[in-house]
Formats: sequence, C-alpha cells, structure tokens
Amino acid sequence: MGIPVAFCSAIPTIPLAAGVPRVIHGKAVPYLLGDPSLPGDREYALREALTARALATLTMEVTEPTVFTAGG
Amino acid sequence: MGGLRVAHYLNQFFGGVGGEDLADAPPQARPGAVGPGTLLQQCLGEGATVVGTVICGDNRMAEQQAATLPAVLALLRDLRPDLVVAGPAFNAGRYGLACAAVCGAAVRELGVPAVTGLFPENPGREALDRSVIAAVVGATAAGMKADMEHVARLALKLARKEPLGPADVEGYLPTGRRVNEFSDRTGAERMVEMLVRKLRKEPYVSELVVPQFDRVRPAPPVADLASATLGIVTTSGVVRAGNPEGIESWRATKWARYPLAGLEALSPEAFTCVHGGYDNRYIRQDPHRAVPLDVLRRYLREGRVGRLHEVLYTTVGNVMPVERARRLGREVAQELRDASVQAVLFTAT
Repeated sequence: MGIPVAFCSAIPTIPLAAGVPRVIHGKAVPYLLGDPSLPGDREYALREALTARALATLTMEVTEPTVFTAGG
Repeated sequence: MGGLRVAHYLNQFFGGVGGEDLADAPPQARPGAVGPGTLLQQCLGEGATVVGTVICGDNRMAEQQAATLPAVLALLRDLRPDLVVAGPAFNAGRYGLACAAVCGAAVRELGVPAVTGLFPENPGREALDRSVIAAVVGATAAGMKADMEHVARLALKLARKEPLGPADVEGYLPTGRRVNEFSDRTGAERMVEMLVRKLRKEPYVSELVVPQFDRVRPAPPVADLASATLGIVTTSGVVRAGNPEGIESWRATKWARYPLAGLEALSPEAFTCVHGGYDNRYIRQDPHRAVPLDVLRRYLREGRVGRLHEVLYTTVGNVMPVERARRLGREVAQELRDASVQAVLFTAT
C-alpha cells in the first residue's frame, strides 16, 4: 500500500495532469508557503493555514486527483 | 580477426555454467567467445574480436547486485574492451535487468559503448540508462541468429562512432535523446498537416514524444496524524548553504538527504535555494517559504503531528526528464518506506 502524500504546488494543473491525488494550492511559485509582502506574523499565519490544510488532506479519503485550497 | 576488443556478458544459462540450479553462480571470466558469443563473433566479422566472456548467475546479480556488479565490472575491465555486449536477454526478466545494469556500469565506469538486446516488454527496460543502446529483439532465443546480427550491427556502429539514426528506424528501444535535424518545411506547416491528418483520422507521427504519466492510485489516508510519522520531501531546490552535494539548478541528476534532528528552523545562513526555474530570492531570504519546518516543529510540540522522520529529502524539480524523476522518486520513496514513514508533506513549486 502506498504512503499518502500532500503535494503543495503553486500550479495545481501540473500535478493534476500527472495524476497526483492530493494537491494543495500554494501561494505562488517563488514563495509557495509564504508571502514576502505580508508582515512576519501574518506571513506565518498564511503558512500555517496552508500547512494545516495540507496535513488535513493526509487523513482524508481521496478517489481521484483533487485540489484543496487553504479556504476550503 | 583483430581490431576492436569486445567483451561479452552472459548469464549462467547462456554461458554454459548451468541452469536454474546454478543461478547463484558467482562472476567468472572465460577467454574468447562462449555459447552465443560464437555467433556474436561471426556477426561482428573481421574488424572486431570477442576477447573474453564474463558470466554470472541471474539470481546472484538480482539479489546481490551491489556486491556483484563491481566484481563483474572488474572482470570486464581486465579484458580492456573497446565495446561491451550483453546478452541478448530476450524476454528473460532477471537476465534483462542484469544486462541493463552491466551495460550502464560499463558506460559509466569503463567509458566504452555498451549494447544489449531486449524484448520491448522485458522489465530490464526500466533499468536502462539512456546511454545504453538496447536492440529490439524477440521474446525468445528462437530468432537468435537474426537478433544477434542486429545487436552486432548496432554495436559496431557505436564502437566506430558512426551516427545512430532514430530508434524506430535503427531498431533499438527509445533512449529519450532528442537530436536536432533540418527540415525544408516550417514547424507551422508540419503542425497543420499533422492536425489535418488527425481530423481526418489518418495516421500521423508526433515529432515530440509526449511523456507517459503513471496513474497514481490514491494511497489510503492515515487515521490520525497525532500518532503518525511524517516525512518531508521537496523539489523546491532548498539545499544546505554552499550546496555541498552540487545539486544542479536544472535537469538535476540527484537528491540529497539532510538531517533535521536538533534543528528548530531553517535559517538563511544554513540553507539556501539553487532552483534555477524561478526567482529564488524569497526562498533564500526565508527557506520556510518552501519547507515549513517552523510550523511543523510547533505542531510536533502541540502533539498535532506524532513524529517527524528527521530528514529533509530535497532536489530541484526544474526541467527534470520524467524518466529521471521516476527513478529519483523511487529512491526517495524506498527511504521513506525503510523509515516507516506513514504520511508525506511534499512541497514543489
């Protein structure tokens, strides 16, 4: 049996085309889990939200390539 | 006979050592041609001589490759070959894997061309380096004569540094190598002609082979992350300061493993980013933007994640050929398995 992988990408169409089951839509290519335009604490909060979302997909049943966003 | 020195690799069966009961036979060398090597010699003709044959049992090679391959290579090296021929292995799986490994090692370590012969469905195909030419041969030794002629023809071409045509024309398994050639018609004309053929449902051949992706069957979820071991993998190009492993900024050929034990965070002094496919300054300023170790440490303290496999697996995912990505992925996945990792956080770009 495989190991579930939460795959964070700023361009979800690429992992989707490759058939990756759990795809999390990151912020942007040059800062996948951050945003240099935000003050430090808010940037951390953004990263935490994306990381929490990614980890949550690891406990979810997935039947086909699916994109998850931090919002829902 | 004279000219080119050819070393030939055979398994225990074709090498005349014995059958399945002797599949454990250790690497051994014989002077001159053995078994199918006699036919190989005939096919090579006057310009090349089979100077020796290295034989090894299929099981020995399959089960103890790390120890056996260097011994085979040492015996080949002693023959001072200009060219290495392995098999052909037809559709024999273990033999095909052995021939692929021997040829790859010969090219890498001895710097000589290496040719084998495989039936297209031989699992050895997956283990082929793109530097190795595998002649397309039949599934069984029934067509040995024609197949050996084919292997010898390709081997001589390579050894004489003659240009090799496309895989389908020359009859070898595609290596994925692209060669530029001139056409008297522009890309636009050729493309429209292809489209028209496609719309008319006529046959056409794409000039670019579209990579085939595996369909990944979704792995079942973990019941509870609070009691699971999490691994971290990234293709974002985050590496140790100074990039001591020399991971390439594009078309990377390797991955690195960094211990994370004792590290609370990824400082920009200790880590940098060498990905050449995007503006990586923001990751260099704060590597957590690609690898969220800061968040994970907090989740570990809070018990939201049970345990971290304290290793960061990293490479650069920029313009990496699919075949190579597959190999690197397999290698990292094996490490994760060996470490009993149950779930993985993967950050790409």
